[in-house]
Amino acid sequence: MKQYAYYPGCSLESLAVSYNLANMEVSRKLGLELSEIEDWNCCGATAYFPVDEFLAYTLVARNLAKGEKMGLDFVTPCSGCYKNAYFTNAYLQQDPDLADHINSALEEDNLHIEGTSKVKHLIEVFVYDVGLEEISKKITHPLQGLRVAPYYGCQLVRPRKNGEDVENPRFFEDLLSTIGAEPVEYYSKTHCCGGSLIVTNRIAALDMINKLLQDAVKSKADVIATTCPMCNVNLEVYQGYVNREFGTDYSVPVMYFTQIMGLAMGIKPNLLGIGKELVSGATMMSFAKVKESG
Amino acid sequence: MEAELTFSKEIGNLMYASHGNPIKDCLQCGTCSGTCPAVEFMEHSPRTLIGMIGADLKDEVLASNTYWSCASCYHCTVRCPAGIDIADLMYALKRYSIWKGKHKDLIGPAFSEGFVKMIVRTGRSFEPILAPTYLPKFNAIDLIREAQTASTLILKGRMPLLPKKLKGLKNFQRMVKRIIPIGEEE
Repeated sequence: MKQYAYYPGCSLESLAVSYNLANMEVSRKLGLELSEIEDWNCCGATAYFPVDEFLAYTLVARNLAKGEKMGLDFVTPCSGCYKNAYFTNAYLQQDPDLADHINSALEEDNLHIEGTSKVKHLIEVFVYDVGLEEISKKITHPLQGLRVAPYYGCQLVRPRKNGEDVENPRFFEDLLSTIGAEPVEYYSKTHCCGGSLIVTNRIAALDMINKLLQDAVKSKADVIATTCPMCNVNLEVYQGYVNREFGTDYSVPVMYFTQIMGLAMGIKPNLLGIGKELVSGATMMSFAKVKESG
Repeated sequence: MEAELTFSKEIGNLMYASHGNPIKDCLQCGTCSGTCPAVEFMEHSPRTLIGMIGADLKDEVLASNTYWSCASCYHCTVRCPAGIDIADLMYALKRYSIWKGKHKDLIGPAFSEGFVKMIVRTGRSFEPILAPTYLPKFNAIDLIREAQTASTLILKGRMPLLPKKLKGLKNFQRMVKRIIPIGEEE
């Protein structure tokens, strides 16, 4: 059983509890053990960098150092946490002065970081570490005919890491095909959901969400699949706000990619946290031939 | 005698870990502005703002709402043909403006400062502690909607009412004080 140092991030204990449930269920099915990093702190999302850059890196480094101590690769299901962790790790590996500065602070918490562990998003662990072939073996309830819009969002594929394809990534589509669903081709898949602008500049964020929803609906998506709690909240919780603001009538379900994978693996919806949405997932559930309970 | 510190250099110095090229490499091609999803809500497009920095229009740049409208999605950064990390530049301008006490009317600075204070106190993000830092800047209708959404999320089991605190909070706070040496020992 392959083991990872799991960093859930703050949202997975609140707005995205269902994401955490689904991650655990699906990982177990795939023979992975997600060992939660002990006493982790908030990674700061996008809110530390406007205040102090060193503090931002140090707070991220504390979690990385704890993961490094476990001797495991660091994995997180949140794209915001992922971007912060990946680049903090990379920068302090490339820059001994930055590493020294951070380590002098980490000392106070009896920690030290070298930057030697690998940082991965959960979807990368599934696609690249487990592999699509292994995943296909666990699919007992392929989601035939379900049109899923893979929403990468921004922080999963940006800034660029090691020459990856930031304009037209395909790994999410490949994963959806593997579970029997039909990946929807649409233009906005790597566009931004607005992130924390939903708090700080609401109308700008609602405009960005509106454009995304419009594109996904126009492409006849039955559901939008996300890899990030922030994207999920903006597209799902604020869908009603968009309808009020722009006179639209969207009611497109938004699910975490692990919830959709779980359905294809025959896991019961309630174990995947399905039912906690504000936009009902009922329209897509007919594709999942899994009994609700029992 | 040292050459005068230009505004562009000052901002460059605030981008410590950024591995992009210097701001002066900007070609003024406008790819950033064409890419930016929030450009319609900015007083100056990213291209214009970078031009203004190059021209040392410090007061005008700092007064602009542009960088506080940036969602940090890095779309401009990955597309910039001159290799400038524009999203990071926007972060640098946010830091500069907080330091200079600009934009007290916007929610962005209050949100960021409130967030950091919350983390220094507890180590974890928790919406009910964070909200009072920015809600006073919301209008009445938005406030009511926010309260309605929050109660629905509580009913759905998506918003816990008790905050989490780190077990090793004392060490954590000592670590923070190594970076920002302020505040009294409790």
